[in-house]
Amino acid sequence: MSAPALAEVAAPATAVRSPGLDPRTKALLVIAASAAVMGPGGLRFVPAALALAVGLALWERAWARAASLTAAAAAMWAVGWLLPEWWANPVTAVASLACAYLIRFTAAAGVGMHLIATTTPTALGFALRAWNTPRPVAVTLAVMLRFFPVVAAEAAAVLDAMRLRGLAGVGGFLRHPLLSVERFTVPLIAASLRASEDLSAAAVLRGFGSPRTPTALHPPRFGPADAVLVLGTAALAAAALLLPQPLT
Amino acid sequence: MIELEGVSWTYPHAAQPSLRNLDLHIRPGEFVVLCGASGSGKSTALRLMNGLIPHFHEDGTLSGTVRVAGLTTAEARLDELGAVTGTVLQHPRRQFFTDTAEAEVAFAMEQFGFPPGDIRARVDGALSALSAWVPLDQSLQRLSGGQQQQVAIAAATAHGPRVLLLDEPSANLSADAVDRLRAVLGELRARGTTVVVAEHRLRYLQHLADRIVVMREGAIDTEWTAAEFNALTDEALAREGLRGRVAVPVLKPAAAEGASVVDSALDGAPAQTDSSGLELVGVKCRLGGRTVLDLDYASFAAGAVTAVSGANGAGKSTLARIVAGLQRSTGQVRLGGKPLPRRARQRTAAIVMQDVQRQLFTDSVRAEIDAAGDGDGEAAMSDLDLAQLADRHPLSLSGGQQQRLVIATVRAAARRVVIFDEPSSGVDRRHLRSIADQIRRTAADGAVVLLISHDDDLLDLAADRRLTLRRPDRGPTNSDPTNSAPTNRDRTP
Amino acid sequence: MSDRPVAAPPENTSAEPSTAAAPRRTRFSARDLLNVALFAVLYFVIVFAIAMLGIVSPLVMLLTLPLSVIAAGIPYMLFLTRVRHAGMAALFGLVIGLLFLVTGHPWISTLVTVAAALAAEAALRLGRYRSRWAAIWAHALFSLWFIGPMVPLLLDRAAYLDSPGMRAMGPEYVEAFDRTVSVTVLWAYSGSTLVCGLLGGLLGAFLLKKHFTKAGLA
Repeated sequence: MSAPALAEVAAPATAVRSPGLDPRTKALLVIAASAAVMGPGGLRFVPAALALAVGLALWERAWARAASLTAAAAAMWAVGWLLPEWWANPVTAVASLACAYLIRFTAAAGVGMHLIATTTPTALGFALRAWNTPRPVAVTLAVMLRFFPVVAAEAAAVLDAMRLRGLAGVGGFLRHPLLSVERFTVPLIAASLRASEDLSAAAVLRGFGSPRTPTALHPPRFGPADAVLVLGTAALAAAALLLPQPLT
Repeated sequence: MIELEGVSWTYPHAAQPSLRNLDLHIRPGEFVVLCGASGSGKSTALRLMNGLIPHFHEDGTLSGTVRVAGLTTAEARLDELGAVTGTVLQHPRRQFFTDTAEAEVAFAMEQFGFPPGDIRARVDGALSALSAWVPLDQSLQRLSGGQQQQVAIAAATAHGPRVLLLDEPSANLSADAVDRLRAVLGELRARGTTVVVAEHRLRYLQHLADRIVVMREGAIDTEWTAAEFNALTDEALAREGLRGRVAVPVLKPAAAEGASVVDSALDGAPAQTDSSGLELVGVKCRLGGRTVLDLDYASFAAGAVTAVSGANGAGKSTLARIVAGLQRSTGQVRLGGKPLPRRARQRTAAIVMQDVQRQLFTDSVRAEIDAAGDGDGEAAMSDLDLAQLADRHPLSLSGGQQQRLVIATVRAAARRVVIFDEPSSGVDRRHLRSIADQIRRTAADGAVVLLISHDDDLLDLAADRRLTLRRPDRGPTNSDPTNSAPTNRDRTP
Repeated sequence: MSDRPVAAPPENTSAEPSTAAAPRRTRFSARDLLNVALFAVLYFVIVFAIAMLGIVSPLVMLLTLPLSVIAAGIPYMLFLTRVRHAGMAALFGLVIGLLFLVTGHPWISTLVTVAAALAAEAALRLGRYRSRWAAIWAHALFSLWFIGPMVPLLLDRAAYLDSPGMRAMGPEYVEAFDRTVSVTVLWAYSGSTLVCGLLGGLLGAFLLKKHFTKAGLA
């Protein structure tokens, strides 16, 4: 309904738990997962990447994400691999092809969700700077992470407002798609600009995004948790290469 | 410390200048209160002092010079100005960049490149001062308004600025949270920080302020010394359009019972079921694995305004979303004795949101009202004093006008249940009475009105009854869960 | 990137005096970066929200996919009104591309997005960062990132044609499918993306006039 409403509903009681991973490890995992899964012959790495994604979700106790990733992958496997076995027709053939693609997407996104869900904007900024990322890129990516919940809350509120005004029906959308798009985006943009204004002003006044070199209270450091994760990922990759491949 | 010389400022797209030839000198260590009616320019003057004008509001027209701690604001960078000034904007919740008190207090020092050991020491100092009042391990968005205000002040001052600027810090705070605010400001004053507060409520600043500057139409109207101000009565303040004390509304509790309800009105007594209004029976809602709302019974009379209050996380918004049919729940919602399914509630209820930009969809005031429903749009428009704005774009209106427009759409659609969500938070306090009038009139039309608000001044003017909610999973305590300083129960996680 | 010199925006004589008098910035100010970040998030959320409406059925997807290309023009065109110097459109594309990577897009998509953003930046530069038509074309060119997610289907064609559903249909069907869904289809897809991108730019420009300029937001 409103930003505080969403915060009230969505914010966890305690602040983000740090699972002790360096944001750089998480970023490398995302790149590795995408490269493995989306490259030629990537299907053989999909089970490993899914296992990694679900494992990370369980590690940070994001039960809902672990469950939905598993369910999504299972559904795609059912439609893409099981269904055509006993009901072959052009529709299931195309659906199967689409699922062969989407299951890779799901696996890569699952690893990425862990990065987004567990990294604070400032930690991401410091990690990128530790990699000598140029200031504009590091600052912009960090603040995007901060703006995401703001814009998402506004989007949810605009959809609520559309529902109460009877503007959100499927019928109306199909009859006047452009008008529906206008009625969603214009308030969303206006409200997001307003909601981000104080945040931006307060951040810039406190030196955010300035040419100064910031220092971190908790600088990013590779620790034992990162080592465990890298070893686990290596084991999954090895298993993907050596064990039978269920999806190909 | 702060020198404004012959400053005039016009916001981009504004017809009138907000400040006209303003001269103001503030000495080091002085505690100055800027007050005045809406549009008098007091918040604008604050924005001049931290450089948000002209650096953040580009394209406006500035003349005259502003110097803060030796820096000319028009020539310095914003981060250079931020290093010597601390700023607390009106809604602390909206300016937090991080999610914990520790990270928020460290933020400015990190960005300014302080040595890590120095940051650690200052953060520890600030946190130990906060720990008596704020649960440090909780997400900032979960704290009460008063606690958020304290974290925001700590975060604005940890890097040791010589100037602290606060924009209406007492707005949205309950009376005891204002007492805490006064104590925090007193400590800063004792340390020699120069403090400038733009404020509407004045009494709590008595004995703190060295000087009170009353602004009118972008210039200084009157100045009072501390002694002169102490001698003024609240009536004299009211004649200047200023407010003295925070009202303490006395409201009868609404008829409700259940694990979510504080101070159940039905203690022992049989429920005087009022079937003419809105009734919730056995409404329970679980979100993210926990029960966020648990009401055995609650009734809201038609034609009356029921305030809904309670701490962040107490379920106020969930209640509003269930009533409006935006959130599924168990149990039954009845209106006039008849059960109202969720979809039907979406067509019966309306919400006037806190940020009304979210519910303005068209390109003119008239179109907005016409699109709302087939009720009497013209009447709603003239009732709410919008007729002369009929052709304006809704997004070009002021916050107060936008709010009136949304209220007009609600009335044009003849909604029978209307929920106001923190209607006084984004709007200048001068308009408080007019907002209260709109809420009253909506109820007088026969609607069931729910008013979600922390604002005691508004509740005093507009509400008839009060339903105070609390987290239903926290055991049966009846302590006041509003914006007050936390009790021991709140401090333990 | 931060030290890139300004592409000397021409002092447009018809511009308001305050704009002309603004000092030329040689690097991204904090404000520029916050603008890029906010509009990148808005862009992503709008495209994602509208594309997701189509998840209910492939038929609706045929409507929502082009619609999301068109809708993307609304935040993008408003973003361009806030571009005061070179590099902002390129930075926008880079951060969007990295965001795609984190949300599961193939890594090639990120490269395609950056390339599309550079093309958009070039179009803006040709219009000296002031021209409305250059902005509309910039949106059309940037929209070509929509090709990115399709690239793996092309690169790893054999593997996708070997999906269980395809195998079950027999080699003749696969061969026919391979012939029909050929590279020509990809060209058609790119062409229609460009057209939708142009429409999106026009819609964005229209809504700028209808809403944001009147509201003082553009």
